[in-house]
Amino acid sequence: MRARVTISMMALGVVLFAMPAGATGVLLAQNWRDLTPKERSDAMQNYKQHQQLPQERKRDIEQQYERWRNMPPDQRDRVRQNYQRLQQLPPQERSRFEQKYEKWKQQTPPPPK
Amino acid sequence: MTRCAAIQEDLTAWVDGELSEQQIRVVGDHLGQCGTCADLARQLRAAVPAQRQTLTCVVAIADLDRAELWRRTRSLLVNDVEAPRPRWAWWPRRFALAGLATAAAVGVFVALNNTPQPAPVMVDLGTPPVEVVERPDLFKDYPLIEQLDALENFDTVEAVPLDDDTPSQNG
Repeated sequence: MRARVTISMMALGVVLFAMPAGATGVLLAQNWRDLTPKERSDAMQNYKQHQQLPQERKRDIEQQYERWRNMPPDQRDRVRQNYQRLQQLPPQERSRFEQKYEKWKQQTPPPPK
Repeated sequence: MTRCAAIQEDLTAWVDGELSEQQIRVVGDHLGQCGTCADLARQLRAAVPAQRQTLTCVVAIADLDRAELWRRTRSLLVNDVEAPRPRWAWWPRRFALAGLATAAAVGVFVALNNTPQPAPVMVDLGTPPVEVVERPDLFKDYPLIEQLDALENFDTVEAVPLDDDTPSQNG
C-alpha cells in the first residue's frame, strides 16, 4: 500500500514537472515580455511594415485584428492551421490561391463593418 | 604333531623365504609327496601378495597425520555449511533502502516545486514602440491577421475556379 502511494506521488510529480506552462492552449500574447527574442524581432519587423501601409489598409488590419481578438479559440486554431497550410504551399500554388482569393472577394459582398 | 601339521606350520615361512636351506628341502620333499599340503602351499603363495598389499595400505593409514586429516575434514565441513549471518549484515541493505526512499522523496519535492522558467536571453532590440508594447499580439501574429479573411475561408477560396483552369474531363 505504501509503495503504491509512493509510486503515485512520483508519477504525479513527473507529470507536473513535464507539463509546460502553456500546455493549456496557445493564448494571445498579453505582454511584450511574454514574447521570445525571435517573436520580438519578428514583431518589430511587422510593426515597421505596418507603418508603411496606407491609412486605409491600416484600418483594414485594425478591423481584422479586432475580429481576431474576439474569435473563439477553436476558430482561431483553425485559422492558424490554415495559415500553416498556406505557408507550406509551393510558390506557384500560393500565387494561385491569392488569385482565387481576389476573385472570391469580388464575388462575395464585404462583411458588415 | 603329524608330519603334515609340522610342514603346514612352516609353510608361511617357506612362502616368505624365511626357512633355512635344509628346512626348504624338507618342505619341498613333503609337498612333492602330499597333495593336501601342496594345495595349501599354492593357496598361501597366492594369498601372501594380497596380504602384503593390504598390509601396505594399513601401514600407510597408520602413518597418516590424523590431526592434519581432521583439520582438512573440518575445513570442508565448515565451508559446506552456511555460516550464521550476523545481525549487522543487514545494515548495508537498510542503508540502501533508506537512500532510495530519500532520493525518491527529494525527486518528488523537486518535481512539485520546480516550475520551468525560460532562460533569460539578452537581446538588444532597442526600446519597442508604444504601439508594439500595447498590442504585442497584433504584431506577433501580423502575417496571419493580415490574411485573416482568406484564412478564415481557406477551403472556400481553394474551391474557386480560375479562368485558366482546364476541366479534368471534357466528357
